[in-house]
Amino acid sequence: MTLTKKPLALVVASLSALVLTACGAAPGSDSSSASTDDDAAVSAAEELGMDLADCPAGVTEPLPAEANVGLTLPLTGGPATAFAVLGPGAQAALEEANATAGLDTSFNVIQKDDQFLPDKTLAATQELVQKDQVVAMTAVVGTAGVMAIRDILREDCVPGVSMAAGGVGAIDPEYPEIVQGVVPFTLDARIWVEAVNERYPDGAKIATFIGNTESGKDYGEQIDRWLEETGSASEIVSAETIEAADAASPSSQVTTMRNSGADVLFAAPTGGQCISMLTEMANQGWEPETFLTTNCASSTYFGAAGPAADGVQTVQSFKDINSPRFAGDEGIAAVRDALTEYAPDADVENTTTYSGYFYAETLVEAAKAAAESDLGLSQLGIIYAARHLDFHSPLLIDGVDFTVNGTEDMVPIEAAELNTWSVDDGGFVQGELYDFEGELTE
Amino acid sequence: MSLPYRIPAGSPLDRGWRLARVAAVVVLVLALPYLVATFQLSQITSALILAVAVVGLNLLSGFAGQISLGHAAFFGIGAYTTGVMTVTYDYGAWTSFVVGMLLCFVVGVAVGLPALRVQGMYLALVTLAVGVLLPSLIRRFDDLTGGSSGLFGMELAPPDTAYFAGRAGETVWMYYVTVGALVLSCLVVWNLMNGRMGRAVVALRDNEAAAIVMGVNRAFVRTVVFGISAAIAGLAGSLFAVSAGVLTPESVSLLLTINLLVAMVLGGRASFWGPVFGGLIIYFVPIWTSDLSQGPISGVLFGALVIALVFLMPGGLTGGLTSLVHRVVVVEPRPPVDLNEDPVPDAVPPDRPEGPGEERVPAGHTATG
Repeated sequence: MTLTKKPLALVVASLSALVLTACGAAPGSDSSSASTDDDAAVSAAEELGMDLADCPAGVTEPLPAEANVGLTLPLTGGPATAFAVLGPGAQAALEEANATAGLDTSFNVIQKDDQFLPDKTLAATQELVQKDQVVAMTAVVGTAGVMAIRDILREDCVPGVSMAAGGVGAIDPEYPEIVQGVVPFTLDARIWVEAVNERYPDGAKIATFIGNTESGKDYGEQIDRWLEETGSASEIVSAETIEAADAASPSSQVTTMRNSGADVLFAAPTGGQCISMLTEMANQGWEPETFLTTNCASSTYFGAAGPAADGVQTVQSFKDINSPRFAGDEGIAAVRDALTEYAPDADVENTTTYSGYFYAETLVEAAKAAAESDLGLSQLGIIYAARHLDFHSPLLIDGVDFTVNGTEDMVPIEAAELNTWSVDDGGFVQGELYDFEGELTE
Repeated sequence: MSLPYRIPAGSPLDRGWRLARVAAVVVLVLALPYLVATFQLSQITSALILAVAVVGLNLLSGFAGQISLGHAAFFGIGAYTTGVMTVTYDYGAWTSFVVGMLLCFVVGVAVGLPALRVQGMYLALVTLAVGVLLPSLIRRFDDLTGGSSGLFGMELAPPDTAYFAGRAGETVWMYYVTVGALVLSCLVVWNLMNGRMGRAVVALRDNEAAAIVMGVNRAFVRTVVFGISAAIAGLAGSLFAVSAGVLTPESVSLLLTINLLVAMVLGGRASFWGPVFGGLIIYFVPIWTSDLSQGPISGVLFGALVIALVFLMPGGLTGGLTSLVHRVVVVEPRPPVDLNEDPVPDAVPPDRPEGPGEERVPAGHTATG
């Protein structure tokens, strides 16, 4: 850098210039805010704890004929392998809505790469909101990412409908614009604890094997919560963890848990670790009653584990597209047809593609409900509708609905089956349906 | 007028040329908030924060020739010091900046001690261990750091004026703070490299044995340079914490070190403009490639562009731009004084390396850099 011989003078000159310019409002600032006499809008905002005066102008106005919907997801880096297919799934649901839903607004999907890093999610969302003027966000992956952007969404009153974040950070009443879209980890933990309470009334020795991740932390807290709140006689005798990036077989952790004499295992590792954990347990001949995270609840993981997965139980709210049980399912067939027609590049054999469809489908349902309400198809209308949504997706198991009610019931998916993997059947055997509708909001 | 236009060094024209360039930079810095949207200013700020970190790395790896694969750790220590102090213990952000830099300096000196005995790839491995260790420590001490769930809520409150009010104002404030930090970091490195320490650094890099024989205190120079480099990276980390408002272990992973190294090389190592260009490249190019081609192919595009830049501009962007400028304007150094023709005894003491007003350009420093 070429500098003069008196850099201090330059700095002083620069600061002086800054002081001179610092007399008016900030460049790029927009002081206009929403103001309306519409009683319905004011009452809806008040019910959700929102102040319309803090929202930008236009939040109560009908959406334009064409509107952008934003997605941030990992398109590069390691997690891209698992999550990049969310984009085509979401695109298919919105394109299908454009063609068939009869809404006055046509939605266009804009996706940005966030590399699964919350600070990148924040930067990408800022661009989506300010440059692309997205009217809503959906399918943002990861609780940390959602927590990073929620202040922006609140400030601009942009609905974030059906976020792919299972942690409690995505169900905060302070942020009514954000609606969760996955099986919450608290439901997983509740069902595990209830099942153990039923089967071991005198208490069981529980081992936990949990990923050292944001979701893992939630799992640990929620298991403790439900053991205490249900008055369980069971106790945790061994608590092992694993780093998310650890690809080695967890032999030492399995040995420690086995030596603890645990009867039951609550396991929430990350991705492929589900497979290596089950394989290691089989190698060591340890066969506790095993409950595996809903994050691994697909035949992709269980099938890869081979005989080691036989008898392992998992919580499922969504249909497993590759399971024989749903081979002729009309709902899955309809979604597959939509994917094929509206997103020809979509991988229709990948479960995550269908998740992407579900997230955007939820947004479409909220848009439809908003269009039929007094608020109309506006951003406030979508926020209010999404916070009061009650619908059954063709991808949800019968008996499981997406139901929320304002800030009183923040958790959309509160029912699931506890299913068991059977090697002989080549899929999950239907188990008991646990329904905790309206009970999981803290 | 034939090109390149030649300007004698030290002439009024040369001084005017230098001043014009500095004035252009100052005007650009002050005008940017008015020329770009808020989110773009926020992106530029993020890129400049990376540039600050690259300034630190450039001091160590560019000027001093010591490879560090652990600079993400120093960045992370600064970031988490600010995060923990402001969020958990409610200290002011400015205080946390200073503490973070001091902490990084101490850790940098400690990590620099092995540099006295090991060189090249072995030193790289030592620093790599530090880089790998930090994310695990962050996860392990999650009560303090938020672990994998992340640490949220860091901010640097702007002055209470209308100009810095609202989100747009906060973005402008963060931009100016970052520019100030970048200028400060560059000045520190500039002063360091243009003094006795800088000559020692270059001498140690080019011929360690000869430098020691000539009286260079290797232990002092190496460890202090390591410490200052780490402190600058820590300052960048603190800025990152308050700018992003969110910290996770992945933010300071080994990938960040790789990005900083790539930025240093692409910008132009051992140059003063290199880190600025490098920070901008490493931040914006992935965004542009992602916009051009959504999907995993954007990573391939980015990689191809990096390879192309390395081959087309081996001296980095700074080297490339310098060559372009030299096609138009060349500052010619003053011809040496012929002592036989015009002897001036005792005009310059024999033990004085340079005359007043003369600047010694460190090795690797380019004419415009």
